[in-house]
Amino acid sequence: MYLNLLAAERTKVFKRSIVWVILASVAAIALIGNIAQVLTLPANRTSPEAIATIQQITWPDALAVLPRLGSAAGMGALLAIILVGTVAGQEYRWRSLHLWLSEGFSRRSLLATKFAILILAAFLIVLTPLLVGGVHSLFLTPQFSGPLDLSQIDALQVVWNVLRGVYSLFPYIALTLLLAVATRSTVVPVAGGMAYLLIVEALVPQILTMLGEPWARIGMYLPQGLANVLTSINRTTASLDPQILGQFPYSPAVAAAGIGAWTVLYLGLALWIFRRQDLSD
Amino acid sequence: MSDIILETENLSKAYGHFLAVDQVNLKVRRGEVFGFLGPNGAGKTTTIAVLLGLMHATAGKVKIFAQEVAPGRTQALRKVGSLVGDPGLIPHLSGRANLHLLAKLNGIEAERVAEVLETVDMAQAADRKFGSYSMGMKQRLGLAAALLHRPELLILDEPTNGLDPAGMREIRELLRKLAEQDITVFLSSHLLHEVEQVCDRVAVLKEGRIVAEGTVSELLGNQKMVKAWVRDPNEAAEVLRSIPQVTNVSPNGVYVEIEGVPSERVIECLVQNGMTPSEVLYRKSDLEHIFLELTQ
Repeated sequence: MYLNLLAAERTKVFKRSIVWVILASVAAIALIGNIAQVLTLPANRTSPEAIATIQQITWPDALAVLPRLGSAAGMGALLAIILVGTVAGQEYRWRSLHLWLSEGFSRRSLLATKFAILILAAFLIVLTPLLVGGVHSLFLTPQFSGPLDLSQIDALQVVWNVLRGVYSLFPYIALTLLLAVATRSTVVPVAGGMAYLLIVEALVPQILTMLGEPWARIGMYLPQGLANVLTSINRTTASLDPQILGQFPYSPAVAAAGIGAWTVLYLGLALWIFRRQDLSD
Repeated sequence: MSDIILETENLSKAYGHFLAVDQVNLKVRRGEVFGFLGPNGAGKTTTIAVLLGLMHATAGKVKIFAQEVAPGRTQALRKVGSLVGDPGLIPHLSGRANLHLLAKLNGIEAERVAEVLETVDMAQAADRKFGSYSMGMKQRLGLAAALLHRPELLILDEPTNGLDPAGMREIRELLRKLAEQDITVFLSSHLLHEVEQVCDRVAVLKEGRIVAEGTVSELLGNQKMVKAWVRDPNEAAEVLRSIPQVTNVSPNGVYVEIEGVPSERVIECLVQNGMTPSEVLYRKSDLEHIFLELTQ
């Protein structure tokens, strides 16, 4: 029964044009980003800036950098908020949620399924820049870095980077789902999620930093800070900059635990509200 | 197996201090078409939302197929089909795609979609987007969705809303056909003519309380009504009220309605008082009349 629910939810979500618009947007951003870096490359290709840019737009390093674009440290959080708010909020207006519940599916499984399918959408948000930017970078590599050496590609690391990127989006998916459930609207979760991301997460750490220690540390444990740590530290970045671990206040493992805690908190609240909600016209 | 398919025990639902549903006790038997009547705001849709586990009851219980139903306990609803208000289908998908989605959800073979589309006469328009349908078409597709998983109980709230008279008759015939196939139907409607024609038993809800329940003929009882066309209905009403057995007299423009006495008694009284009627009609009271009496 749960598999049926999962299959139906996947069909319902992926038949929405908003999913494909968002994936097209992130693909375009990845491509435009790559092209812009090529166009702004310094004439002196031996300068440290030029070397760093070339590393970013060519294989193998491009494969480590590109998944960050779709993660919470890049554009991913914003896109996930728009997607989740639209998809979840409209279900109240259409009453499809009511129909599915009145056919005997539990509220818990319905919410869990929705979260699972939205994770699948988030996976595509992270994967798309890797695929589109990756193919473009593949063509740039011989031009800027000489013949491609496939042995230099750490495939496992690429997979890990994608998974970390997807995981960094979990709190934003859960928060937007919470806002959609609590307000039964499309506008509030999208606007609220964006306000949280662009105002709260941008301002609160700065304000806390101004208050000094230990307040400054608290700001680093917001989802954005945690996502930065989780997606910045990997074998590629560590090989480029051995000091990178010391630049962050905590390890990727702590960041992963923090992201998990935020997700459980938001999702738990969403479920608590959803289970108590009266659904009528 | 129990004969009772749906049962409520002192079911109440309050919104703050307002009691929308007040100690409602219902028993719906297998294979019957049960009419749930009440004026707007009587609590019909709220009761149905509680039956379908969409709302929490403030007090009391709902049992469907002898299993308790509440928002956290909806297992029994797997055998229930429903159409309440807007059918809850996805506007950007076609009618057929919507039904295929529900078939996937319920693990039903795809062939069943064509079957139910034929049943509700929507096969021709099935490939148009649901959002482009007229209200009547939406209702038909909603009914198809409710029938898709072969439910044993159908809970329908105003299923003929938006349908033309021919469509209404088709739905009435369909409901009777479903009852013959041992599908129990719980039908909420304000179309009394519809309920009178299709329902075996009826409950009337007023301000959240059941004010009458029984078979249609039990509710109609032996009440007879006489309509007498007279020159001055108000004056005639005054005179007719003096007959001891009269239960109700209501002047109505050009005629007067009298209940509780046979037509000969009415004619006799009017003639004796010099108000000979130009025409007299004698008939059994209809559900509309009973409904208005119960709910006004």
